Amino acid sequence: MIQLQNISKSFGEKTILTDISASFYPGKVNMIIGASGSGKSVLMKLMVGLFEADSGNIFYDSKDYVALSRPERTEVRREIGMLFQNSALFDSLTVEQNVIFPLQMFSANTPAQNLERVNFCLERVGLKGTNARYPAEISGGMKKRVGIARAIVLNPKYLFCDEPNSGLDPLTSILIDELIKEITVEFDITTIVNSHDMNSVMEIGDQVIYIHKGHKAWEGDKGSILSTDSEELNDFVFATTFLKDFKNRRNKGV
Amino acid sequence: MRFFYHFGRYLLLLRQMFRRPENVRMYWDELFRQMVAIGVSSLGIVTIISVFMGAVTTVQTAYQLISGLVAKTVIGAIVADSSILELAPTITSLVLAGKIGSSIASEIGTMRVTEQIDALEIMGVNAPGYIIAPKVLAAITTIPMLIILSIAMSIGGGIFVGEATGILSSQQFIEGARSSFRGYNVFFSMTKAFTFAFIISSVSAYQGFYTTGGSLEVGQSSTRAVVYSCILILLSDYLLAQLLL
Repeated sequence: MIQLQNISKSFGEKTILTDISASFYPGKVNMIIGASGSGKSVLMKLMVGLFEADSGNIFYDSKDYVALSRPERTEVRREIGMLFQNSALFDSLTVEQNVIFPLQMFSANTPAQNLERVNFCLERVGLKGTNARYPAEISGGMKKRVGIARAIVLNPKYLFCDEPNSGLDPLTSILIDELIKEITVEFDITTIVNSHDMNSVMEIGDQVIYIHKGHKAWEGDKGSILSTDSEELNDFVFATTFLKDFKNRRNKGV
Repeated sequence: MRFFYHFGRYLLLLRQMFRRPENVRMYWDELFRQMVAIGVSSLGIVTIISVFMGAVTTVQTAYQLISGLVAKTVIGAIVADSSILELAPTITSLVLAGKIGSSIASEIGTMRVTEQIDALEIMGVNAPGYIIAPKVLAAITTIPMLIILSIAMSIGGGIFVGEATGILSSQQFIEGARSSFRGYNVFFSMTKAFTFAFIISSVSAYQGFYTTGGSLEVGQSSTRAVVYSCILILLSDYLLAQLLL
């Protein structure tokens, strides 16, 4: 479980996040949603330790990440897997080398055990037999899946996904969403997904936090999103004319 | 003030670079990969520029020492000493700043803007240690070797052109080179080589590591890496000459 307590962050004069508190649960897909520039990516980077919060605490189970020493933070980071918006695969390495990298760096396994684990992860994300291909030789959707395989190869307790559907077609987006959901339940991972894709939210989201201009504007389960009174969330969810019409017709009972 | 900001951040990056590796074998493998990328891949360009450097110096020295009162062996002495003291370490390093420096800055800069460095850090890998330290160590081991090769090729180029054009015989050239040879000059040349290698690799890595933005900024970092490396090479060249000669 991950808990945020009163997290605030500014860059110079510009305040990005103000007093964010939230809880993220294991075995669930916890969604952070919000418009572009709302501060959700900064929040995720604070949680994984790429930025330092100006104030507040981040608890990984009982460990206060903010108060940990550098070696202790490194230990926590080894329990984190992350899928990046652009996959962030190492260009000079093959698919297999990308996925095996964390194992070679941190595990005491034999090369055969590492390879077995890599093959298991690649098979789990539907990429069996792609070991020798380079990131430049595979599609965007496949890159995301390699990113997921790399993120789960060390059996992480926490999985962070930053805009997992960006740049993907609708069908591939659904496949990636389903994969994230399945892995979360199968391995009982605390998964946090940053997204502004409402399809993803409604498909795989369990718990949802809505960030608006750096503030937590709404929190709840996905079932209550469509009936919320929150004006900001309604503006975000029903941003398109089609959805606005749908909501108006629903309210009128049409 | 901006100079002190960058200098302080550069020193902090160097300190991070030398933290204990997470897995020595992985770092060791990376070091050898970098030695090939920096050292072996530069053999061709170093050989070509060195041969021409020695050849041109021989022709121009002969042109300036037209007087019959000066022994021809002096040409060999001047070319050999110039190659050891200045031409091989400095000219080769300036060329390598362009080749290796831009490559290091653009590689690391691309890793930064495509979040590959973030990925390493989230895994718990010390990114400066894994990405930069092997490059710096590879540079300070292979560049001095390239400069030794450059000295040899420069002298070789001088001998070949001297013989081919009839300026002086190879025996006269070698006799002159041997007569003026001092071991201290080689020590001085190697001191320059280590210093320049460190400047090229660390300054370029710094420029790449703190790249922000996209491909345009990667190009700008790469250009800055070459420009700053060249300026620092020339500045330290003067300082070392002043201090050690």
